[in-house]
Amino acid sequence: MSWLSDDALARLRSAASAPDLSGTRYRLIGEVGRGGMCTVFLADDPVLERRVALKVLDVPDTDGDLALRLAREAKILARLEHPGIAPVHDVGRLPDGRVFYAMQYVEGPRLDAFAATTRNLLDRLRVFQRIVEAVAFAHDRGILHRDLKPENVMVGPFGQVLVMDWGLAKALAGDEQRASPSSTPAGPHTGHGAVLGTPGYMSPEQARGEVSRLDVRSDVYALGAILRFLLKSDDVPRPLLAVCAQAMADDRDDRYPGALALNADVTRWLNGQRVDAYPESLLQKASRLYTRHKAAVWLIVTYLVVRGSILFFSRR
Amino acid sequence: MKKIGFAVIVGAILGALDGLTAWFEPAVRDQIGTIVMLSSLKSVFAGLLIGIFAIFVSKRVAIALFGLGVGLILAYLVAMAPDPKTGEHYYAQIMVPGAIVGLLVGYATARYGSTTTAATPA
Repeated sequence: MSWLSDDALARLRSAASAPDLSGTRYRLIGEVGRGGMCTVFLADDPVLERRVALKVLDVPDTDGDLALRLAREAKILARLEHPGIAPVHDVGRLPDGRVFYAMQYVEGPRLDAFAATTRNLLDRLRVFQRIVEAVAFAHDRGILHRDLKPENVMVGPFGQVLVMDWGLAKALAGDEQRASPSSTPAGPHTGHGAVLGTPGYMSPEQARGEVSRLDVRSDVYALGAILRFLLKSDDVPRPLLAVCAQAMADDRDDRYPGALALNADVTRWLNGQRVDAYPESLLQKASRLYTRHKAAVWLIVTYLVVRGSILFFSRR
Repeated sequence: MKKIGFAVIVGAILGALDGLTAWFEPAVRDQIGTIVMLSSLKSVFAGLLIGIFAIFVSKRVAIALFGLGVGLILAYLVAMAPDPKTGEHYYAQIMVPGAIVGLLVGYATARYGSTTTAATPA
C-alpha cells in the first residue's frame, strides 16, 4: 500500500538529496542531471552574477575513492582550457563532506537530442568535427577521455560544442606528470582489469580491461562510434562509412593514428577530396571530381557547344 | 596579388586554346598564329582586370559576371576589326565564345584563385 504517489516520492527524494550549499557562495536553483556517482545541479553564483553547474558527489565520501575521482576530474578539466571543453571555476567541499566542483553551465541539448532534431548531414559533421578538435586537444595535453559518447556531448544554442564528463579520463603513458602532477597516473579506479566505459563506444581493448594498452586510438574508436551514430538516419555516403570503419577497426593499428587524422579525412570528404579510408574506382573518382567542379565543367561544356555550333553553322 | 597572377595565367591558357579553335575554320587557318597571339593577349588583359576586381570583390557570382562583361567588351573590340580578305565582321563568332571565356576566367579566379592575406591594421 502506498501513501504517496510516485511523483510525490520523487520530489521528496530530490529534496532530500539536494545539497546544502550554506558553506559555499552558491545558491541552488535545481537539479540538471544525474550520473552514476554524481548529480549535477544548476546554481547561481551571486559574486560573479552567473549561473554555474555544480557536480556534486552523491555520498560524503570524504577521503575515499569517489572524492579523489571527482577532485582528479576537476584538475584534469582545469588543465584542458579549450572552447570545446567546459571550464572548471571552483572546487570545494559541502558542509556534509561531499566534494563538488563548479563548472560552466551549458544550456542546450545533448548530442543525441541534437541528432534527433537535426537532419542536415553537414550540420552534424560540423558538430562532429568540433568534438574531434576538443578530444585532439586533450590528447595533445596527454589526456584520454575514455567515455566519449553522444550523452557526454552538449550542443549549445550558438553552435558551441562541449565535451563533458571527464570522470573516466586517464593520463596517457609518459604524460602523467604533465597531465596530473598531484594524482596517481591512471587514477585510483582504473587498475588493470577494470572495465570502464560505455558498450558500443568502448574500443575492444578497453572492453577487455587492458588499461595499460589504452592510447589515443581508444578515443579514436569512440569518435568513430559517435560518427556512426550521427550518420545513422541518413543516406550515408560510402566514404564516410569507410571513415567510421577505419576509426572503429578492431585492431588499433588499423585505426587512424590520432583524432586529427580522423578529422582530416572528414574534412577531405567535406571538401570533395579523396578520403584516405576509401579507395575509389575511376568512375567514383570522376563522379567526385564532377560533383566538386560541377560549375566549371558545365561552363567548359557550354563553351565547346557554342564553339562547335559556330563552326558547324559557318560551314553551311 | 596571387589572384591577379592566377587570373592572368588562366586567361592566357584559355585565350590560346580559344584562338587555336580557328584551326577548324579553313578560311582563317593561315592566320592562326596571329589569331592565337591576339586571343591570348585579349584574355591576359581580361585576366588582369578580373584579377584586380577579385581583390576587392569576394562574391563568386559578381566576379564571374564581371568576367563575362570584360570578355564580351574585349571580344567586341576585336570583332570590330573586319576580315582583311573579305571585309566581313565576325561579331557572333568572336563575341559569344569570348564572353564565355571571360566568364570561365572569372569563375575560375573566384573559385580556385588563392585568397590574399588581409593587411594588419597599424
